[in-house]
Amino acid sequence: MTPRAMRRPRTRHGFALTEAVVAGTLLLLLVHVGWWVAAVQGVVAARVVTGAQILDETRLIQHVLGAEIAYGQPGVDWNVRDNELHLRAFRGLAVGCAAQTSDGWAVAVAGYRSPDADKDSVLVLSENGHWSVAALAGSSRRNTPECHDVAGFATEVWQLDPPADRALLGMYFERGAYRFSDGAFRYRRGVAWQPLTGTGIAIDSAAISVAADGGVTTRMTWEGSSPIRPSFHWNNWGRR
Amino acid sequence: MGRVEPDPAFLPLEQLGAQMKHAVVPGRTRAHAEAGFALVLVLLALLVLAGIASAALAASVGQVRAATMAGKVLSARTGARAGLETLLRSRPGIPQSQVGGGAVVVDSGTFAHDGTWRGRELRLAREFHLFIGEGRIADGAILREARVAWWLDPAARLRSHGAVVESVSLEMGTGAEIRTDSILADRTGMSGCDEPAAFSGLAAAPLAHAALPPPPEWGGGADGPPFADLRLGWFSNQMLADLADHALAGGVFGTAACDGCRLGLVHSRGDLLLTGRQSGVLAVDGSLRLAPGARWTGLVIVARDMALEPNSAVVGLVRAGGSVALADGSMIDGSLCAAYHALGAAASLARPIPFPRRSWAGPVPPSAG
Repeated sequence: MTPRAMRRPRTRHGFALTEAVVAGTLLLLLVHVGWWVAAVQGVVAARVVTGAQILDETRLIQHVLGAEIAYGQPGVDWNVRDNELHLRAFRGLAVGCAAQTSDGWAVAVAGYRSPDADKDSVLVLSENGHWSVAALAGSSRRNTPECHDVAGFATEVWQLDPPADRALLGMYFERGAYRFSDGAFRYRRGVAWQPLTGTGIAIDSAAISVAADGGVTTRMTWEGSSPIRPSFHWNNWGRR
Repeated sequence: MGRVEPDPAFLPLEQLGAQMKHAVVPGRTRAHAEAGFALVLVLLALLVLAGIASAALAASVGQVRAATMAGKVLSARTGARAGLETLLRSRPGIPQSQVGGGAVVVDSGTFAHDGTWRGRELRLAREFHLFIGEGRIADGAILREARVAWWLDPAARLRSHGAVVESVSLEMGTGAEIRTDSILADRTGMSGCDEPAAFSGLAAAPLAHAALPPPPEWGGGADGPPFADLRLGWFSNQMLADLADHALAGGVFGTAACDGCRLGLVHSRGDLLLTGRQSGVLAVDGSLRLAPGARWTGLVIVARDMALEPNSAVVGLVRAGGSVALADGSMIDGSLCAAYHALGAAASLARPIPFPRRSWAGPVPPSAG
């Protein structure tokens, strides 16, 4: 027998067909397994990302509530009614200047946002130690001499209604409310409830209530499966 | 010339080896084919694991960054608050800053591993100050917290006194006297007082007696029960008791050895009988009686009634929540300067305190530094 004949035996024709079938089956199996694994990977990755989003949004809610009640007093500046937190949302601080103008109260102002006469009121401390609330009727930027020089503070002249007598300091605020509704944590200023988070909160589980020691207790559970525990419960307190 | 076929018995060694491999170990040929398949599976598994790991890594890195940032902000804010507390506890004495001046850095320090804090003071009015605490971690943003403090100023505190004696009622015995002609006069061992004289209504038009002033000078008012019976500015009855240099439970008080020296703040929780000759700020949560020959120089504040026995005297100013009765031969010698110097010498009162009811002010936004 020649070497060529030895390398190519007759039986190899049928064996090639079997090989093709087996190879096709294996390829199909491989594609199936690959598809399945990719799907599992997608699910696992989605769960990881969902967990991260849950942590992010929970942290946001906790931060917002903590910041909002930080300078308020329970019963005076905020209260909880019907599972809604109603509050004076303080947005900044104004310090009375030494030299005053005839057309208003000259102040040095700094805050998370600029004061807005359309929606803000001011909690004013007078020299007699009395805190009172006045509406901010107008404000304008002005270079006022003899005013406190503090980094980040700008000088303005405010018109208050009613005018404050011997005012020393003011905290400007808007009235707002927070609640859980339609799957999201929401803020209302005026009439519309604006969502601050995604809509994945199990509303029946979410609640805002007054803590025994004067803080705010928040309970919430996220819907769907996640790699982390979806229920959260914490307290926020104001400055004490 | 025709090709010569090689004799199989004399095949080249390579071909012979290959044929022998096929013939002797056929299973190894299958293993070769499956080895490629296993490799693909392993690579696929690795790819999947790498994908999941990268997603987890991205998520966890994001979480770590967010948590780190939140931790730094919390640390810096806590540092600012701790700085404020330190500032309020470590600023004894009479305030030296000027009303309307800039925000002066009055103290600073470090906290945690790489945190620094600074405290600034703004004087809003004679007795009102705004303290701003600044906290920073490394080169991060400066977080700020502000707190309103009340800080007794002796001259400003006496501005509210409209008469030598302020009480609900006044009874004068024969020969008893309330003097108003030497409100600002120098006396033995006591200099005059220009500062309160500059803006005190009492100095301009001295009165012997007047009704009690309304809150917040006297009475609880909006400040509530802690201030209802006895107060000195925004020092409540309890705070006066806590800060007193001499805290008494009532009874008899007469340290004869201290003739003319200033005792600082004396607080009595209960009715008090004064027998000696002392000086300072006397706060009585009850009634006060001066025995014959007793004398108090300075400021007297009494929750209820006050009675001066014959030949007893007060040099200074009196404020009593009930009646003031002067027996025959007793005297209240009105002296703004005596009250002023007594307040100035009461070191325990010379300190800023967080303004009662509401002291935290804000929010103050972070500063870039």
